[in-house]
Amino acid sequence: MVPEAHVDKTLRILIVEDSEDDALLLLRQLRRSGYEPVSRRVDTPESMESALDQEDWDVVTTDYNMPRFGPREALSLLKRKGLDLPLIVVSGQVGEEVAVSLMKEGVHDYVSKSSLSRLGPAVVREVREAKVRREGEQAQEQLRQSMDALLAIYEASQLLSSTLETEEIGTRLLEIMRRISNLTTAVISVPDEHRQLRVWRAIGFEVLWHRVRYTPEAQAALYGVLETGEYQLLELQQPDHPGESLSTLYLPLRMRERIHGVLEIYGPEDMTQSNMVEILVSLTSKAASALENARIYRELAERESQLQELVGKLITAQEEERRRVAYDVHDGMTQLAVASYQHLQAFTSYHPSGSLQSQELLDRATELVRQTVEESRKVIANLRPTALDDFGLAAATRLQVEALWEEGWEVTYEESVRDERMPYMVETVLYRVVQEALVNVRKHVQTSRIHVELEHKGEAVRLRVRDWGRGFEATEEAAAGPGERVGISGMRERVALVGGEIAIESEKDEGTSITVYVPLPESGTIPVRQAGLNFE
Amino acid sequence: MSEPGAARLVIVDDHELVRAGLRAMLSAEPDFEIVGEASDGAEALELCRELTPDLVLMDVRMPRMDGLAATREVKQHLSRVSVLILTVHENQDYMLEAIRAGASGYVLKDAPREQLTTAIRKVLSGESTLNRNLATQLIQRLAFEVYEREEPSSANPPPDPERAAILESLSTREREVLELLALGHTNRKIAQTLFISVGTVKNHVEHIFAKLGVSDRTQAVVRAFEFRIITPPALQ
Repeated sequence: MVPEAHVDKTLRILIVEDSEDDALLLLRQLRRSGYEPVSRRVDTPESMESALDQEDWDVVTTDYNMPRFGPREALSLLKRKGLDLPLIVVSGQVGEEVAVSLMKEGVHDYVSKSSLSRLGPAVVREVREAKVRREGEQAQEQLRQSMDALLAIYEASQLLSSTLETEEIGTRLLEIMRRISNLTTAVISVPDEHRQLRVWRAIGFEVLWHRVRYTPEAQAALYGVLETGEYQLLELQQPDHPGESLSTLYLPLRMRERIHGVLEIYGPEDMTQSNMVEILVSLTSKAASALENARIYRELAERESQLQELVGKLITAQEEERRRVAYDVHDGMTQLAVASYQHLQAFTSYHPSGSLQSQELLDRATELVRQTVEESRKVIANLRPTALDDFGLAAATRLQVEALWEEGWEVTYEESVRDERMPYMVETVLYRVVQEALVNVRKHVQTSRIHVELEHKGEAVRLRVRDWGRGFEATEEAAAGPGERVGISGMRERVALVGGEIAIESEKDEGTSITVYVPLPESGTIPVRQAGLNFE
Repeated sequence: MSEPGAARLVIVDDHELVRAGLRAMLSAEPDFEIVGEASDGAEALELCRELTPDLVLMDVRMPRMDGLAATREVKQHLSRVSVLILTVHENQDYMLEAIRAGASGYVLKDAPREQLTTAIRKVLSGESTLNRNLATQLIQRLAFEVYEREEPSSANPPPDPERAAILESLSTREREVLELLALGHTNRKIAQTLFISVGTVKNHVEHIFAKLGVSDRTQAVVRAFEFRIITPPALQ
């Protein structure tokens, strides 16, 4: 058998042989078989090892009868070196058992020196088989790599979609990239408001990307990616190191029309081999979608907090307005009515009425003016009781409870806040919650028993309004009339405004309890007597 | 028109109309003479220093210096001048605060004329203007607060020479009368309880006022609690 025409006829053969003559015979035989052998003869393990280290070989032949060396030693040396080279024993007669046992141990073939004509075909066959074996291993290796890559993509998408933190996504993306490709250094750059790409996150050897990234070629490519949204693969020369180039891959972090930035990957030549680029593109798009999600989430959160702030402003403004009107009524209308009442009384005492009829009319007018004072007092109390400003939450709450008690409700009140003052908004919010809760009880609850509790404990104040009425099921809260819904959501918004928590528990026929917990800032309370009355 | 020996009153309110109304109502009473008017606390204080009236009708919510601050000042410097607070607020906290500030009483601005004049006369005669239930409640709340406030150190209170002197000066009978005053009892009721005449009770009360440096019953009781001369009655 002769090597096929298109096959390279060069054969790199390492001959383990102590006889120069036998080696020459062997080479002659191979030439006869059509090979152009390139060979080296060795006859000690040391020289064989150095030959293996220095050059690549296609095949190794070994003599059987040498003083310090033989096929078994040659075999174990190849194994130790991790080389899958065909090993053919070329020897004098060794007997069939020996030959068989050598083959079992891993020698590929045995050719007798007396029938060297077999050597050519044996070499051809073994070299070919070794090549098949090698290719098989490569294929397996590639398969393994692909599997690794697929797994990495899967893990990466899990990982990327498990966070809404932009920073975290960037860091994770770079780490994943490094794990699955053999990149040396990578950068994520993002455009600023002037569309200038700024380095946002980097991984690996910084000096390296610094060297190439700012070259005109690299910059052109980077902005190209930013413009077109298509990736670019290029070789960049390192300006200070002539002849040394870096494989460079610029990938857009693109989600639909939005390009969040560019992922820049720098590494050795083989970094972008096989299907790695596709994998990196796919990962980058996953990262881009994670970034888009993060952006949307951030916007939503921002809008949420803006809304919260707006609601807060609204509540505060409403409170301010109520306060203003209350004091206007107090200082204006009420005093006028008071003065009118006093004048009418003075008039009565100076001018005893001439007739019963005129006396009745005068009495009626006087009474009406007195009722005006009474009414304005109610208006003030409904708007914003002055007691809340002057004496604080505990006193103002007691007034509400007393009013209810006078209406005939069985209401109990327990408080440990006394005359301590809390921040203005905390007092207002808690006062309004009590007010709203009692309005609900009056309107809907069908009970006469209510308990109000106000407790100042450590750095927090806790309010509880409990009734023993008909209660409601959780689903009913949503189904309640618009007024009630506003009431409850109003409570929630107010409580949120001062950083508190509200829990509304209700069970059918068991009653309802509203518990509010508001943390107080350090030294959040001041005794009223030090604070002085707020009459201004 | 006021007769000789009429009580000298000062009206303090930032609303001119209200002052005019009060003046109109009170000038019909021959035993009252309105000697001055002020439109805020600071003015009131100045006027009191100048005129030393028998009684000041004091509004609460006023610019510059509110009525309670002015009352504190008046009582501190001119303890013989009585203050009657006039307000539109109808709740215990305001009354309590007024009494804490040293006022002898508390009347609503829209009270009928008779109620106002009665209150003024009661204060002038050293009687409590508050109705008994209310007075008792107020005093209990006040006493409870004094008691609570001093509780931490009550096991070993710091020596107070003023307190010691007052305790020393009060007779056993006077302390009994003081305790009954704290329950909001009238002179008649105290006389019945202690089997003494109403006249004797009046004498004891006047001595108690002098020893405690106060001009009315409410302030006497407040003082007595503050100096822990009597312990608060059981809370209802």
